[in-house]
Amino acid sequence: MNTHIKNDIPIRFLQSFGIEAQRRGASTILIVFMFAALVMLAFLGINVSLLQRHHAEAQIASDLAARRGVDLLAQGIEEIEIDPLVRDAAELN
Amino acid sequence: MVNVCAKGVRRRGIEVALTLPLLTVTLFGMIEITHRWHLEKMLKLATHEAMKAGADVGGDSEVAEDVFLQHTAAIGINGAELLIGPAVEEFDNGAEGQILELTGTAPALLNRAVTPPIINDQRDFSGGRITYWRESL
Repeated sequence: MNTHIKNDIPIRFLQSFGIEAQRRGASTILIVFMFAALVMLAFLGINVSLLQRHHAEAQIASDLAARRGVDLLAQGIEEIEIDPLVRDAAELN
Repeated sequence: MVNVCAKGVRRRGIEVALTLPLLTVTLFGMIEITHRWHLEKMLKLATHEAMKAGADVGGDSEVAEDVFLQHTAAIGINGAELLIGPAVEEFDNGAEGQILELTGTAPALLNRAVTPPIINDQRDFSGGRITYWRESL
């Protein structure tokens, strides 16, 4: 019957120091930390993506508002009257 | 020795069994969500270009649809559709200042990134509604 592991340390000696329990705890802590890091990374990626999306939407809204403003100016409408109309155009998009 | 090794192997198997599905779901979920947002952004961009062409003097719903399909084809969105509001006739024959609405959509089934085919998602992507007025000059 084999009572020694590879490096000739008796199993009873290791068990008396609670080696098995310690290793199990270490791997659990490692998994928890690594998973937390991964979740943070995932949220960072999602946030950057969402930021880009809002950036594009803001650009579209401002572009349409600018076009609306130019169109109204060309119709000869006063600048003071144009301002709320242009803001409406931006808010609707 | 046999017992120690057996325990070690079994424990490692449990760790992998717990971690791998979590990693896979997180990673693939992130890819799918960001892909979806990217498509929605691109749909909105295509709808915006369609609106600019359709609302211009001489523009109509056909011009808008052509521009929309050109853009979605260039981006690589499959099965994209342009919803015209409030009605095609009003869109085409509306007077100056007539409110025009366009919404670009595409089926999720034809535009998935990493979702396995077993998930039958019948929803549509939507880039959101673009509202504008018929231009005069």
